[in-house]
Amino acid sequence: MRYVKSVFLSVTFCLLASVVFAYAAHVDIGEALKRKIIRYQAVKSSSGLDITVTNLLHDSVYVEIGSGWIFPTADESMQPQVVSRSHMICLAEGEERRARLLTLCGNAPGRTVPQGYAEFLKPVLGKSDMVATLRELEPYKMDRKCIIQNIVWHYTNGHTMANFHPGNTGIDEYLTAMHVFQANEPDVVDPGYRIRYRESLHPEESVFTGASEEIEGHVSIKVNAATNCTVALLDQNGMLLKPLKYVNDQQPGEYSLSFKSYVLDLPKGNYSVAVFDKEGKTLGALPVEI
Amino acid sequence: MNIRIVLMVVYLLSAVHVIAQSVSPSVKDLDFAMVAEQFNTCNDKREPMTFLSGCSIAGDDELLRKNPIEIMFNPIAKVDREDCLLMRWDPVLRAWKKFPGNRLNNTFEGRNAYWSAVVDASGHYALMKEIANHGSTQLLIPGGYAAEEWKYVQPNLGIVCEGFSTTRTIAVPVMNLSPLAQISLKFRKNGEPVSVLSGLYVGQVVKDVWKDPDAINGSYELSLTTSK
Repeated sequence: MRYVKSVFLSVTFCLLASVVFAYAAHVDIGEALKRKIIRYQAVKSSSGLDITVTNLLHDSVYVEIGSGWIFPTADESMQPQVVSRSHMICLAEGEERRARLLTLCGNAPGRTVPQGYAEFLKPVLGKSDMVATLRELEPYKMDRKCIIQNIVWHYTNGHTMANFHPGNTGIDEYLTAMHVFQANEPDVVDPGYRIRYRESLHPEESVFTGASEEIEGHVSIKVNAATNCTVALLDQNGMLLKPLKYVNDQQPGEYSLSFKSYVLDLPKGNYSVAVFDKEGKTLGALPVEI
Repeated sequence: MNIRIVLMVVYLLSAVHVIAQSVSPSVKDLDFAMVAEQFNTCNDKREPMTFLSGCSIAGDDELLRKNPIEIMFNPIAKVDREDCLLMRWDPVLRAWKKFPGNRLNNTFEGRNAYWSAVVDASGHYALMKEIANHGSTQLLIPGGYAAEEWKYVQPNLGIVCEGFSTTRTIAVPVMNLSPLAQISLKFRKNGEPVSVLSGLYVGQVVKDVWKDPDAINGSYELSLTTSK
């Protein structure tokens, strides 16, 4: 009986120890730094961060750097780096390893971090909504696509869905990203148009130029009698700036007409895209902010 | 003093408004009645085409080059898109000409199909259908008269032809003159002033065109006849 009891206690202890061991061995970067399990250094590279992690534990350790972790810069005017794809670094006792983290810009108007920059502060976990969205997008491997950067700027800079331009994103990937984003953010309203900003001279960097180059979207109209329609961009006072489209003999019904307009020549402000019939009556309008 | 300032502000505002109006491009409808009155429906080979619909774009060409306008047409029943062209009016030739990108594409707005083309210059644009069989029919005005300018308008086929002549013969470039077609003429008899008639039909007898100075109580009759 005594023998059985000691065996039982031994097994229980082993199980408990294995749980404790497993907990200690598999940590995220925040926990690892808090518990001083690791030491690290991050250096900006061409497509992210080169991170060198040293295991300080007298045991092997698995350090997870999940998507949504932000590496702030010591200089606040520079762009913090947001991890866009989770990375697991396995380290043996005392081992040092280097890994490449894929990152995105975490502050749209911030200055680009030059390659070799190493003054990163202790990483912090981003907003839970951003983390959830990025984690759900991870399996689609769209890290390098514009839409993922736009989603990050939604969380870090308050960009609206109007800034979610597909850019270099294929239509299927774009729709997937939008689907995941909207599932996580059901309260965010789609304004019905998208703004394409002028691209940076260095496309490999996540630079937000802030210069609106083109808007595209859809405006809904209701036509009661067949008419010719003009889709036009109007200024804040309702003055016609640019006719965008002319539809001959539009039949009665409800329609959603697409539009696209070059806007780099317009100052930032509030505008609208409206549809007029041949008598000048407004059939539908969509406010747009450039 | 105050009135002057107010007047100046009003003047400036109206000037800005006028400038904005003159620079901003605008699109206006172009229907068959306008085409019949101001244009024709012939291409630069002087072959008549069928006018289907159109529009006029006014504004700064530089702006339009940067901001092209998409022209969309609802597909027309029993008309093949491949047979249609969007053509631009050449005011010098007084003819409709092709321009780069004038082929119509099939585009969709939701589930609705349209024929579309993109234009980046001001001018008059018309959706035209080429006529398969070209021909010519002579229209004769009475002897002693010379038709100087003429216009043939056939609304049922969307055809408008026009021309000049120094004789009594008008060569209308259509296979058959329609009884529905209307003809307008500027014509004269030797030594007499130009007379204008409009809204004539083929075969119509027109009385009392003008008083003959040599026959004060007499009148001329003008009838239009055809010969192939």
